[in-house]
Amino acid sequence: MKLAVRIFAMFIVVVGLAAASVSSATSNTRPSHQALTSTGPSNDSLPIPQCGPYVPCPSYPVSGK
Amino acid sequence: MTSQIAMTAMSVAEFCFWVLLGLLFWKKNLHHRFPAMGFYLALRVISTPALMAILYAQSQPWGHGYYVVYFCSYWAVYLASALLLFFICMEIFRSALSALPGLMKIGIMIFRWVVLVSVIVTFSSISFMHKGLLTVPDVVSGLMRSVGILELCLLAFLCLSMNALRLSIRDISFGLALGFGLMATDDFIAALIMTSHRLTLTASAQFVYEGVILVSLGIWVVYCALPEPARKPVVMSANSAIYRWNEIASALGHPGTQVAVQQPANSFFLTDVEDVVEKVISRNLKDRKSES
Repeated sequence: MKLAVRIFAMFIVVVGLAAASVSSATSNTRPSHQALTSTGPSNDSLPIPQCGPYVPCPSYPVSGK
Repeated sequence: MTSQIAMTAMSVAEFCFWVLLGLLFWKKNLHHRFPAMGFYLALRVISTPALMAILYAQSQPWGHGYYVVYFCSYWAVYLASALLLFFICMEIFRSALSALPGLMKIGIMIFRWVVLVSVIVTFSSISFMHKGLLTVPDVVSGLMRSVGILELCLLAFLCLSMNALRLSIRDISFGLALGFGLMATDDFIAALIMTSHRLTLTASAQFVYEGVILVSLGIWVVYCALPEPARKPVVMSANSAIYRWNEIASALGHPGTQVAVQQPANSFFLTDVEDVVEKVISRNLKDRKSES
């Protein structure tokens, strides 16, 4: 049992580090789930802001721009 | 059942898991042992419904102004989570090494340096493609990425040194490390998929992603609910390497008496040579006397 858990844990480590080494770019990555939940209004749109207070959002264009 | 309803159900189940975990954590007084984890659970339980409410408000026709609130609060929570996860890793590390106080002390010192180096590497590797407030997501995502790698390293360390530390697989420090490692791997794989599929997770991948999160939370709930076995005393031979390292680390930790370190003389190099020559001559004289 103990050996099985350790093998499973090491498998997680290897897979995780492999994935981390391949997806090296941070600009396109999705924010970690450990910070926030992934629930959103729809399946595809996650509640991650894609624009800021002074940056126009695609759906709500800032007036005056 | 449509996929959206199923996804919503999974998200609700996840929130219930967080609440249950928080309750178990408080009930068993584990927040005294892992205070940062306690704060992290509280942050998750409080911030999730609050952010969802703001998100709902900003999606309404009258709620455009809430977007700024959502943006700022989202990334503030994100930053707080990343910082708390650094401290949680340290707490797990400390708990795992509690049987060897000397190694724990020096290990924590090394751990802090590792954290500092990883933060510096994170900041130096950020591309800063965006400007203004949009640099915040880049910086905080980079921090979370380094935390994820740290979590995986911690899990690997516990797996490899489990026998030496006499750590049981039922120990909660191992359970927490396993859950965080699983979540970190899940995040990295999701990031990989999103990088290769242009920022979208397919529905099936998202179900797998959420499923792994639920499994991680389930692991934590089981670890918190079940009674933790008493830690076995670490018994090792007196000449074992880990025991000696612990002794050395303990000795390093003691302040002891202060000793003045002899500074090299500021004299000229030739004076040292003269001293050496005099010593050799005097030794030769002694040898000759003894021979005669």
